[in-house]
Amino acid sequence: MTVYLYAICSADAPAPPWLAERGLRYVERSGLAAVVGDEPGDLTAPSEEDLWAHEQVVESLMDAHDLLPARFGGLLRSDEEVWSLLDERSAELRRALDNVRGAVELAVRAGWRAEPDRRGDARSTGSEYMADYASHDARARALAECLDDAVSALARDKSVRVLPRRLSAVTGAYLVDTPRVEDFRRRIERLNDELSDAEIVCTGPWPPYSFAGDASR
Amino acid sequence: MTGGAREKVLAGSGAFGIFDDELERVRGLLKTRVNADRDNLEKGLAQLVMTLVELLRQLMERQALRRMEGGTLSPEEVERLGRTFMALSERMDELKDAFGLTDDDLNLDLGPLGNLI
Repeated sequence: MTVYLYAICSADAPAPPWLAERGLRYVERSGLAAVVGDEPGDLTAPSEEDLWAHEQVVESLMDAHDLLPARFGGLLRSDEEVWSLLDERSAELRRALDNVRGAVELAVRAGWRAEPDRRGDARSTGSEYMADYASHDARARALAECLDDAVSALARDKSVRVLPRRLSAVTGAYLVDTPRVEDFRRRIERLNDELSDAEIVCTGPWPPYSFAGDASR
Repeated sequence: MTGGAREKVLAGSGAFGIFDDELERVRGLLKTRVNADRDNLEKGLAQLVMTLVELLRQLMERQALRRMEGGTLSPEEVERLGRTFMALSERMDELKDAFGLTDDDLNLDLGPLGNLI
């Protein structure tokens, strides 16, 4: 019988009292526990509500203890397959758990207030095309540096991408100690006050999906 | 932005639409996940090939940019490369339109390595 994976945590982490009421349970192996349940509805036609339902379960678990969140849609064939996952990857999962302990993920998107022109036909020569690309690239990298200067010191880990020709020029995930979330937020707000052509949107706190390694996939 | 997402905003407004492409990306990922073995094989194959072409295009563009900034390309070479990339970009846009794909469909989730592009 298939099982649906919500998260992986230490087997020592006490199961929240509501776990069984929601049809969830621990599958334990190698000192780790996978929080699983039955397949939630039809995964071949998921809706946004389904994604939020998954998110709410993971966040409720995160309120109880540290965990490695699984992304939406993680199905395993049986409890035996869960045991294999925990056995084979126990060292890696423990390292990932240590890495995220006491921290949450904050997502950051830095975008231009006006869409960059990405269509080739807006330029008449090859040199103009390359100059335009160089300009977008330099602008996006400068924005990424600005963001990095503002918040990196507050993050335990980060994953940042620069996308020169997208409306969202910089996207980042930051692993931040829970007590530092408010400082992080304030720094983003301050940076937004200084930027005239871009805005930075910060969302969270999220379970640390970007820092969970294989557990999240 | 939906109600759930709005409650998660800590800073900034997102009012100018930078979440729109993210929503498209999520929809694309869901479609990719669930349709891989169903009736979308032709589109799926086109998506895979175009993803690889797009990756190569971006890598070549970046390499050309680095060489341009390093001063190792003549103005004629810059012009020629720029025209090639411009033509490729236009052709990719036409193919994306033809197959009903967006920029965010042209990516691959490489597990622990992150996204391809």
